[in-house]
Amino acid sequence: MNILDGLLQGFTAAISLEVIPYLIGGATLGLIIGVIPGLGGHFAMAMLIPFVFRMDAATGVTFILAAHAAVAQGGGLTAILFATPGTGQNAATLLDGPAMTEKGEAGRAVGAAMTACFLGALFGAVVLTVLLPILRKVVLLFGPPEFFMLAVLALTFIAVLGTKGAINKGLIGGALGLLFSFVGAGNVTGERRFTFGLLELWDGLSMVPVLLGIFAVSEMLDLWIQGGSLARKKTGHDARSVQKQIFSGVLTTLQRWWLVIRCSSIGTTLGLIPGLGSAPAAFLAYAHAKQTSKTPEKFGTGTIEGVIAPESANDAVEGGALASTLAFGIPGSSSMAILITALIIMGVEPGPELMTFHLDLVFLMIWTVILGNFVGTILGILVANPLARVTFLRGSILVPVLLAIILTGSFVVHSSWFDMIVALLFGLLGYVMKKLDYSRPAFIIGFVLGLMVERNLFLSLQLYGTRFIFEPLALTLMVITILVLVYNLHKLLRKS
Amino acid sequence: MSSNETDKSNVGADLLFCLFLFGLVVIFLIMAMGYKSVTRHAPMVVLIPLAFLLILQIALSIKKLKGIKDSGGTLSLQAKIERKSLWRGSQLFLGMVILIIMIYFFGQLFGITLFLILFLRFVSRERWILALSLGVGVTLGLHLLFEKMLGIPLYPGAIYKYVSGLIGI
Repeated sequence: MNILDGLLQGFTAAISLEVIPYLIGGATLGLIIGVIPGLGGHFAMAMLIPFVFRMDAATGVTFILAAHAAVAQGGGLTAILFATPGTGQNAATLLDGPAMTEKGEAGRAVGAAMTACFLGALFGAVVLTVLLPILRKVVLLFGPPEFFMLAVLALTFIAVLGTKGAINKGLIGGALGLLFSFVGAGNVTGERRFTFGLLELWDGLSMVPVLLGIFAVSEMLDLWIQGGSLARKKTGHDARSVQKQIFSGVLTTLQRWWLVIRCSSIGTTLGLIPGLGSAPAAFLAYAHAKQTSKTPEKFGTGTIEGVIAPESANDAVEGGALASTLAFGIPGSSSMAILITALIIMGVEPGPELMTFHLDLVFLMIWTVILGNFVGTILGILVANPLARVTFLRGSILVPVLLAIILTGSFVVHSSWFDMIVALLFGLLGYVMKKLDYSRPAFIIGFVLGLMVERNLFLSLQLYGTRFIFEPLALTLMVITILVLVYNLHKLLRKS
Repeated sequence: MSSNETDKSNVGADLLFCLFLFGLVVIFLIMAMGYKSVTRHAPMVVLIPLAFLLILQIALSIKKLKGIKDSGGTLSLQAKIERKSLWRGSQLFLGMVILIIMIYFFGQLFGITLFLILFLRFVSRERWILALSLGVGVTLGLHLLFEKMLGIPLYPGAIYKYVSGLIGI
């Protein structure tokens, strides 16, 4: 299948009657979850996982990815209107978004943010499409030693870059995830490991309850303990004027197309690096916009460029992140780890197999990112005000309702009681990890990568013995891993 | 509340967490010794560095705790806040345990309705009308979504199973 055929097939599939309701439904749910402060893209995806296991790969992936695509738009809305970022990736929008609201330009900022999000996602998707033929060739150079070292490199990146200076805690998170993935029958010999005599652990810990526990139950615990309503700050924006100004914001963003392209390319490039995520991309894009602006002194006082730059970068990240996830099966973030889980549940293995035999699915994902963002933008523009009211929901109402859904979700995948208990216990673990700054993304990526790490380590040892680390590409990856670790440790020591 | 107090409380919790994890790692290490060499290969590759990382983290926490202790920080206000958080956290954790027990006996649909009504009314202290409508509404939504749309049967409950077996449905 060539790129043009793939693009056409992907588009036809995305707008087919079987898929489009899931695309719209997913994007709507993503937008709503994004609006709620504290519940990010990984929460949206984790919540939707139990629903996809009976779907076919096309509808399931569309549903889950559309939700993820629209989360940032919802988060941007809350950041602008209530000075509370809906998701971590919208933190940079706080620098100018709320200031615009205070100046009475809330609608303009919302319109600009929504359009920038869509254009950023579009840019990322285009880059991913262009990269596909190259990635298909590169992936063939990878054998078991290279995949093993790549997994180690990705985990190191996530552990080192994803934690606030606490490299040790990031590495502990990743190693713990790997360790828990080894529970159950051994991947190579089938011998049971770490089951403590429990029959329910013979097949290992199920991915869905672990994901729901680490990301969803722990967030609920946090929300409950904090108490109060989700939005901490109420601004006196006028609903009617917000709606009126939105189109002016859309137009301004289209006029600043060169800024959108520059910031989107920053986002996509950073998306290719595992562990960096959207937040640093958004801040970097903001800094770039300020540096290159003719009026840098206006940044921070409510300038529209200060909203366009971070919002276009944080959605462009997805294109880059998807590239490494789909081609190598190595997730660059917790959301991508959840996407891999969903693919595995639906019988599709990411990596070379996906790039060779399921290219139609890859193009469907590319279109989902574009169309999911488009739906999110349209909905965000049309219902900005009613949507923003979601933030006034009290945690005391939201938590029990969402918990009932989460526990039902963890039960239905295997109709197992044990899975509900697993979700509960991992929820507790996730909460403690969150509070003590241990990396939950590293944990979940380690957990998802466990099978791949063990299989490739075994194959490498069988094929080359312990000399597998001296294979040229594997050696290069190992050297990069060591350099990343040494550099960051050195930086940390100098700082302390 | 001074940052000193917060630090002390967090470092103490961190130390406890690391000691717990270290205990778990030691148990896993002992268990792994008994497996075939191929089976324990990958776990050992993870367990040994993890043990070292935890020892390092424990040492760092002890050093930090000593430093804060020497500077004379108190725990009174922080302890109060922590106690409140602990109470709210345990309240929800207990709620989740009760929810699982309720689902076991009454089934997913009836168990969730009952749990939501009781929790929203007596723990969240919401009005009866809101508790009732949310309890029924959420359950109805779950039934429509899982059973009708996705064709996934929800658990009917031990009582239903017992009664239906008794009357031979």
